[in-house]
Amino acid sequence: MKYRLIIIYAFLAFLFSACEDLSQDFTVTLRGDEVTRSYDYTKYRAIAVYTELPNGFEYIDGAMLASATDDAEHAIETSAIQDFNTGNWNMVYNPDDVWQHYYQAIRKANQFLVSADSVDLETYRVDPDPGAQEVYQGRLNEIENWKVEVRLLRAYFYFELVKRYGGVPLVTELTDLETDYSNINRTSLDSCIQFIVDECDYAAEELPSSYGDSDLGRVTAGAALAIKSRVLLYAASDLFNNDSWTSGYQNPELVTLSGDRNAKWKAAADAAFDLIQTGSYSLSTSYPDIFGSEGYLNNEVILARRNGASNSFEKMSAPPGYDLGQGGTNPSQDLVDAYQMRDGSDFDWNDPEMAEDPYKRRDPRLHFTILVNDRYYKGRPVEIWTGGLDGKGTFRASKTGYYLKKYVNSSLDLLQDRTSVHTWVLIRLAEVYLNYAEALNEYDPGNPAIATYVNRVRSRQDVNMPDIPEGLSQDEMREIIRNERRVELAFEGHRFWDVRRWMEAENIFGQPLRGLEITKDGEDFNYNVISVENRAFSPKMYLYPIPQSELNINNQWVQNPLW
Amino acid sequence: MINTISRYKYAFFLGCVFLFFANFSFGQEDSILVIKNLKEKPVAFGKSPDWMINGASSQAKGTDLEKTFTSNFANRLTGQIPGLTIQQYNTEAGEDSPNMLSRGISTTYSNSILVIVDGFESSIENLVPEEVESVTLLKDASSTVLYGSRAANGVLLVRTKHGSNRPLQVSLSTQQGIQSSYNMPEFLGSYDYAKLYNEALANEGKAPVYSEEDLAAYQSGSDPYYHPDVDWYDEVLRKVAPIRNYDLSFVGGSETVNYFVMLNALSSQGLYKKTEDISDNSINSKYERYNIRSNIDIKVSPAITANFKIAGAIVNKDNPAGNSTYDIFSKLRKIAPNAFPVNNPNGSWGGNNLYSNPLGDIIESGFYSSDARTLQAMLKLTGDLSVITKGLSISGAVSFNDYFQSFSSKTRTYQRFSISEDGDGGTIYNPIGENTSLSGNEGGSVKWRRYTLQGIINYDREFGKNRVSSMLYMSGNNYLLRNADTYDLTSFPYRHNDAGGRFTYAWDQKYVAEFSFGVSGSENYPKDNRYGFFPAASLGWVVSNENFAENLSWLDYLKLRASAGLVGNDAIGGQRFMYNSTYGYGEEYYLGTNNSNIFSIQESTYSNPDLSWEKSTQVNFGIDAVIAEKLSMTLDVFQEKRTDILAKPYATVPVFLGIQLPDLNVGEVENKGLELTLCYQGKFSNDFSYSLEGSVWYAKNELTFFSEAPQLYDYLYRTGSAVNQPFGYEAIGFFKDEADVADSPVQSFSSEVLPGDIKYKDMNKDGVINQLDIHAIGETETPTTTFMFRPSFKYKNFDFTMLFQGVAGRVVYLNGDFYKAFQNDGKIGEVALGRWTESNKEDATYPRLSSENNTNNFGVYSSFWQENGNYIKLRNVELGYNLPENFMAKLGLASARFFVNGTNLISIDHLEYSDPEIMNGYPPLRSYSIGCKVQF
Repeated sequence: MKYRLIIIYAFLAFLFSACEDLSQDFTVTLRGDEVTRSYDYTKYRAIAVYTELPNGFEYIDGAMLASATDDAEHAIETSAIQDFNTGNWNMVYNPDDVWQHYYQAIRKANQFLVSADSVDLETYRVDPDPGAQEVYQGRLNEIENWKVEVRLLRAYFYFELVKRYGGVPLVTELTDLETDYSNINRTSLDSCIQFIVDECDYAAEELPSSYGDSDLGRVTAGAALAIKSRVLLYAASDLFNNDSWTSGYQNPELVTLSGDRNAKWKAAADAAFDLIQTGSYSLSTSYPDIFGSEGYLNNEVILARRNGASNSFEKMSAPPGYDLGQGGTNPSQDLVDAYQMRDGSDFDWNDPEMAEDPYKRRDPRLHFTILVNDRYYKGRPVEIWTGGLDGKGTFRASKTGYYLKKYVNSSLDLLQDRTSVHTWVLIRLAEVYLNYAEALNEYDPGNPAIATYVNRVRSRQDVNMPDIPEGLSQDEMREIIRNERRVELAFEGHRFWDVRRWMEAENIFGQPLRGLEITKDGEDFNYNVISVENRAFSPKMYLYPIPQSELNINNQWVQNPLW
Repeated sequence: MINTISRYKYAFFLGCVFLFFANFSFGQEDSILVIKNLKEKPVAFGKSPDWMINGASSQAKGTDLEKTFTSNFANRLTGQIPGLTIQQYNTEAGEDSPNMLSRGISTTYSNSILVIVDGFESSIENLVPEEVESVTLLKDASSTVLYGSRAANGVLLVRTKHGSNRPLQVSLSTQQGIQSSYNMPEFLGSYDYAKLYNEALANEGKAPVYSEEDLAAYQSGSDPYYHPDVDWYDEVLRKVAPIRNYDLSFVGGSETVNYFVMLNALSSQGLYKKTEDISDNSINSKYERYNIRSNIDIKVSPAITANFKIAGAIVNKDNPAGNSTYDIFSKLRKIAPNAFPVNNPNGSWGGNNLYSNPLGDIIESGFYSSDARTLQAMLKLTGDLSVITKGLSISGAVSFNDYFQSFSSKTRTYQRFSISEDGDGGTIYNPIGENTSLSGNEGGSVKWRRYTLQGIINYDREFGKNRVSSMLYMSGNNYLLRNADTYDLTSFPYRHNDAGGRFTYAWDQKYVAEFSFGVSGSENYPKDNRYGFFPAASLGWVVSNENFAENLSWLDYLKLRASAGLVGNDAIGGQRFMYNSTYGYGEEYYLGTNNSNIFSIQESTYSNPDLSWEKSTQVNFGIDAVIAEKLSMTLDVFQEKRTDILAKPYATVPVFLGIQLPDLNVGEVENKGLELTLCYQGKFSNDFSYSLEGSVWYAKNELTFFSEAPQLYDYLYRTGSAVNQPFGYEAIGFFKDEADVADSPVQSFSSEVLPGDIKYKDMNKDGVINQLDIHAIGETETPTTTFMFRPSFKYKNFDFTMLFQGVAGRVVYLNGDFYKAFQNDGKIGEVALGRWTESNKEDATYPRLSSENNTNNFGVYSSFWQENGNYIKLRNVELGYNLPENFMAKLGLASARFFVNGTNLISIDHLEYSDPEIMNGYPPLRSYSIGCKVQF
């Protein structure tokens, strides 16, 4: 009995002594010091900055930015993209709310730049073996290159901010919760542009013009020149040089540049030509290939946002009569009408022959870009007529009478969940040609190089449009270049910004969007241009408002004009 | 590192060793009267006479819980325990765990109650009332403080039944019933759908899509293939489904061994049609649960008792087309009645590109099963150390609590056809999807286990008029959650060390003073900050035991109570180990000619090096009274201030610094309220007695600080409102006409605003309705007030009882597809009949119809779609008959009772078209049942 008691009391005592060890930390994450000392992790940190590049496929709530322009309408009415079209956006709500996104990206870049040199390469440095020394030098060089890449990406992020907000605070050092931000103000537009251009110049000097097979896709010297070309084109354009839209804004330095306009156009043209004359890039013989699953290998592409294989864009874009189609982006009649006839003349609804069959003998880029009624697509003609499989009367039918084709890989079997690589082109050579032509036409109209580069874009092998007419006035040439830019770069995220920088948005984005009502009559189709929806644009929308929360916390900051 | 509790640990150990030897060295002390046990109630880590309890707690008996017939034990608690608010959102068996709140909401993150079954943390969903003796809710700091950092949200103590020293009693019972849905949404048929769709198009200036011939065909039903009129609810569901319960228990004992052994089986079938009989590719929807329990108490020696409890549940669940019914029910609410026929002319399944066929889905697309089992095992040894000093005992316990659920699915796709006429009277079949063979997946599983060791020292003794009761405990707790699909920080064990003590002193059964404390440690906090100390104190005065009260013969009992204390909430939200500054893998990027993926690493959310648990300061005052042996009353009023709630420092850090803001312990919430219970027991005659019990409980909270970003207008701040206060636009009627639209502030949520659209209030009077006009509208979905009323009557051998439960101070948002006519390609419900039209401007109750998605009317959060969510429900009603004793004696039975029961029979609410609790998914259920219970 006594032994039984002893055993039981000993057991009870044991229970009292049982206690969990709380001192152990579990981690499935990495600590900061581990990361900065490691070569691999530092490489991955640089890659993390690349992931912040914009991805235009389902950019805003499933929609492309083109659906906030006169080029298209998004089929899903509840998508946030519609708020641009109804004018329901402001300083507390913005569907394209990138302020936080890019400032977090900039912080990521700054953080990389302050610690990239902390990589521990001691084992190689002290090892006299030539192989080890080679690794040591190679890694040192790589790290130096990463730093330049990251600086160029940071400059690109700043431009994404500047084109939306005008002058923004330039944060180039690492901040933390204790940072005294009370003295950080919005930087003037001049300084912002200068900063971005300087960074591009530096990167163009330091970066290689190409990489080996495994690093293809990193930013190159060419990318630096191309970004600079775009930045200077924007800096020379009306929006940043003509403050008439601001109605006497008190802080013009935030939204308007100073200096000689012609010099700016020249700088823009020179920057574009700097890239062109490197000869590192060439136009693709095939227009659709640029946007296909191997687009990232295309020599026309200068800067791209790389992605893995997917099919969500196909599901979003396919007409609803096809498996899993959501109807996605609906190109507008306005855009379709902008494509010329194959002979170089303009399309005209008043021409009975053209109106009879509006899709015949058109610029081939129309059919590369847009899916029109009765075209053969994925095994059958697409039926966008009222009552057709993809037309009015079916759920999510196109509101405009068109579906998107550019970037859409029609060979994927979506039911089998097949995927393909989608590369979002950020800058390609054709844009730089058009940048050059546009800038040159502004300060040196009549220069033959203008037509030369526009014609090069038009004469791509599988586009093969005739040359533009000779002897055009500056204004006529400007219209041609603008239209060429619209059709060549459609759905690549340009129109939204181009129309703004030309200061044409009130006329263009304020108009009702047009579409086509198609009815089938026996074997024939009747086409009837309709208004799809009213669009709202007022001058304040030339720039985005600074998020109100930033103004509330930084009392000395000023809001953008008219907001 | 030897931390605080480890030091306690050794002190405990030494103390135990000391007591162990003391056992043999100390002599017997003078015998002192052990106080007579009055009514005892469960308290943390034990029981206590009612008059000694100064804290706030309330209780439900297992037998009362038997009367609400439903598969989930937690839902049986609805309305049964003052202070406990149960919100059920889903009724599908196995998916129906409700949200349980003690005294409302006190934090912006987790308000989850700590559930303790027989002394150990556990879950209650799979318990059955037949095994439960009582459920007690501990509400204030002085009752819960022993649980330290997990006490602030209240503690629910479940005590299971146990045997006693008496002959074996066998109890056998069964309950057989049917479940049916109620408060189902009513949708319009094809004719109305088509007519109103044309009206919607006309509103937008568009041509109709349904011709007169179409409408005629819909009305006459003459063309069921090209003009179908399908009520998908009728196609997929049946009207009633059976639910059954069987219970067998043995209770009894002797001097040395007491036992309670139970077996319980419950099965309920789903409301789907029985698809297994139709197709080999399907299975009937059902839920089955088997519970076992064995509670054994053994007197090992005069000084030592062992308690051994083992309980388990096995839950099998089958559903066609999904682990839960959610997807099918959302289709039932979506697919227009004229979208496609159930079957095409050739017998194939109808369908379209947007939706598969819901009936086809449950018959053809395979089936899902899950098997879950729970095991709760506990061994406790108690040593009576009276030999050292009277009233001293120690006990130690170990508990294993395990849950495992595995999932099995057999899925396939099947072919549907959308049909069109070819013009010559023939039919064109456009195939959608393909028929495949069943493919299986047996990989999914979820398991958790909790392993606890616990030691307790009790000292309970009376010296003359003094009574001392004290206890000390410590415990270590290790919890592990594993999901077959997840590997992250949540996959690592959660560890807690807890200790605590309670010292109660009472004098002459008049004055009771208590001090108690908890010490809690968890690895979730920075090294120097892992342990917290939580104290509480309380005072009680039993007025009725005072001499001056002796003359008040009507006053049987009166006690005044007051308590105050500090407790914590460990469920703070966010990631674990937030005090660590870490880097994590981000989105992959792609480089190279092969587009190879490459990792990216980036700084994670900023760390909070001072991370701590939420702290709650609670004060409670209470009165208990019994008057004239008939009326009893309990009143508690409380106030709580919760601090150190995690919040991001939006107020002080601008966005352009690019920092992913950390969660800091800065948020504050205040909560206050009361609970009142009255019970009157009376008699009409010796044969006819009755009792009327009613309770009301109320809690209202306010977010007092949340580090919100500065706002332009005061009404934009969430601070100052209740937690989860809805914010939105205030609807001020419909636009009357074009002129009204033109004269009103600009609303640009949709591409055009038409007469009959909802008009919103311009709060800042800037002429534009936008996000700056959002303000607090209505009340939260969590009620401020809950009440219950339970009349029960006994007449001779009959007994009758009802339980009404209701809530007030609650607003619901009418958000389902039912309320959004034609939105997202959906259908139209009866609610839309009150739509605005040119001829129905004044009495319109619904905006004008839109064929497209209309953000202005349906997409923005506005007061238009808020509705009073108060309700009163008859939760259960039961009529029972006990066979007369002499009759039973002949049969050799101890007792036999037959009963009829109804659960959720009546709902009185403000919602014309749906249920105020269950607004989407599986419909609300009521049940009718009969049963009997025989004891011998």
